[in-house]
Amino acid sequence: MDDLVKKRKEIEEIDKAMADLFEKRMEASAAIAAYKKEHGLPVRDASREKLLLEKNRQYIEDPDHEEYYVSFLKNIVDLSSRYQHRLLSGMKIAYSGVEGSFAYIAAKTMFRDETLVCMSGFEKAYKSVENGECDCAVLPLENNYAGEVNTVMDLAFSGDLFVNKVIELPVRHCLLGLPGSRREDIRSVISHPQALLQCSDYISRHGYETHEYGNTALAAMNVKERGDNTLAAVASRETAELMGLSILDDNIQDSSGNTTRFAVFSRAMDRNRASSGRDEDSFILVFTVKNEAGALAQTLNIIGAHGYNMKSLRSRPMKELLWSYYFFIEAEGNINTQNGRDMINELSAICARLKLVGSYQTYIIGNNGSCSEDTEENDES
Amino acid sequence: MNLEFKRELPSARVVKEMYPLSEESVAQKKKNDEAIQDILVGRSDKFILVIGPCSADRSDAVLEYITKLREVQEKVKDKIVMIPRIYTNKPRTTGAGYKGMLHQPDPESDPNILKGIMEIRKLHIRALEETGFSSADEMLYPENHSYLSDVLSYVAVGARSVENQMHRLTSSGLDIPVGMKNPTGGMLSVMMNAINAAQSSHTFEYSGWEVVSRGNLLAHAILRGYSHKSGHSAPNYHYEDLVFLNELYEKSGLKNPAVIVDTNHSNSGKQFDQQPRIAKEIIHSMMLSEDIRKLVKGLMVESYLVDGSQKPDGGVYGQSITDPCLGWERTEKMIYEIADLL
Repeated sequence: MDDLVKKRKEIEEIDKAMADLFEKRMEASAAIAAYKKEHGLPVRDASREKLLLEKNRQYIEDPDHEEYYVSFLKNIVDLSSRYQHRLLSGMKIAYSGVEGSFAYIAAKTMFRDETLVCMSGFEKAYKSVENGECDCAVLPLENNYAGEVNTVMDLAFSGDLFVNKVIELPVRHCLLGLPGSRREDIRSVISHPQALLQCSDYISRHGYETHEYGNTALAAMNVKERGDNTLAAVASRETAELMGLSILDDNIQDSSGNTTRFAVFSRAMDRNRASSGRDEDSFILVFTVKNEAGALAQTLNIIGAHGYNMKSLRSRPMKELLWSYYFFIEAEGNINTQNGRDMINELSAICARLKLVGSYQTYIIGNNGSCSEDTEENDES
Repeated sequence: MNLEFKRELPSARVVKEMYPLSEESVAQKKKNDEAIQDILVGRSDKFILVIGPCSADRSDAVLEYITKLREVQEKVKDKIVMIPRIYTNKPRTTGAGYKGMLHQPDPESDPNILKGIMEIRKLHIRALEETGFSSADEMLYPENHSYLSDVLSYVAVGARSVENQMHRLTSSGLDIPVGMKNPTGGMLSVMMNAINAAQSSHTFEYSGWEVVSRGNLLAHAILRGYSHKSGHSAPNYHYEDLVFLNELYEKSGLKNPAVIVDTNHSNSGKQFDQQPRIAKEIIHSMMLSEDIRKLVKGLMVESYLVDGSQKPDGGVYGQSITDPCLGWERTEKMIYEIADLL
């Protein structure tokens, strides 16, 4: 009897200590949520969670306890990320495009519980983060729909924001019609010209007439409003849900390799994450070179000498100076290493202007609208 | 020509902008230069030790070595002025093999000279900032000197380069001591001619410019032993060799007669562990003759953290991947013995 009382007392004490620790853990979790808010990072980080579980389970000596402990820990991680989601739910995410557009899908997948704010134009979205109205902006870096991504590059060059994350969204088109309509009845399809082009094989195979629209979501809205059973729109699966249309056919694009890429712009650069030594990191540099022969080549040589693999180089005219250009580079490799810092140092001596826009890992959003396995996150640490 | 022009390298001016020297480092190097040059012109009777690894293959081990050297330097500062060897480019007998950090910042990877230029400058600067030493390097490719001209306190022209016009002319345009090694065949007149050329003024082509040098009165001799026709090594550090060099100097009319004796290479027949004995023999000769005492300004020693040498992929931290070097323990003991004898 005495023994039972004693043991119960012991458990009470342990529980008290655990309650203290739990509170401390939640406080730390809140601090991390604040960091993520500032840097425009999502709550989830699967690789971090996996590491945490692998490391912590080793602390358990009695193998009988291990599975219970892992379950306990998973629960705590879950609670912590729910807490972070709640803390971040006040976070405002700016994007440009209508509901159902690819920009919307990208923002929605990345920031599930946060408030999405639609802006009319990339510049407005960008400025809303600069002036503190929103916490981050999801803007296209490479978009199959238009050349207007140039505006985003210009903003990256001249603005004050940083990129800590890039989202890749495979282009997947569906044929959307009114509920109850049949594919055989369709005579004409409407959509953004690029979307029509990307499905041209499918469209010509079925002998559809085509009509161009400003964007895919607007086209879908039009199908809904006109109530015509022979009319269909080329748009995303999400648009079908939003507009209450039926998916008459799926995956109708010609090649499956097309993707649209979005960058998440926020006010602070996430150096922590980049220094975690992940090789799959990439970075964005914008710069101008001195107006002399071979100046650009010298810059690229230095990037090459440091072992970074350049994925793209784009040049853009500078607004303020006629016939002057700046360069926009994306390259693979971790920039937050000694090697990377040396490279930036060397480049700053030969570039008239140089800015590290950010380093990032790419989130690939799968066809079902979720993040892909290898980058899925559940980070609360 | 079958040259592939891979990429244009940044100029020395640009690289110096990328990795500038701090004001403290500029002042420190000036102080080092004065201490070294006072010895070579006879204002100070301290003894120079140009000491360090055969090749600076990796920054971490070289910096650790130089940091150890600094501790010993402080203990013997009344008698000895040390100049660490940070040799970033290596002449190879057939041109094959590891060519030094300039060519291969990573000894086990392909050449990357653009990166190598940055790496060697960074290493010399770190040595100066972290230990206060401004170092010695070999002038193997004369035009590369510009990349390091503000950090080096000493330059050696190797046995295979000493007959080369470009090395001699470039030496005449430096204002730090340049040691001219005797050629591998041992002909001292070749070395004396090189010193003569370096001490004179010349007009020549350098890095795409027509330049005029004032002449470098700090150019001097280095005796490194030589090879017989048969291929055997023969020393030239003995008493008689030093007397003979002194006579050559007297006849030549050259300024600031001076010799640094290399205790390794053909003087030791690459028996690296003989260097302490050879060092003591040279100091013994100095005790016997006032002329030799005045002429011999110091020694050049090949030493590193670990005795001997290994293949470039050997993986032993602090062991030479070129010629065998004296390990740290024996090096430290040797320096104290030299200081005691002086």
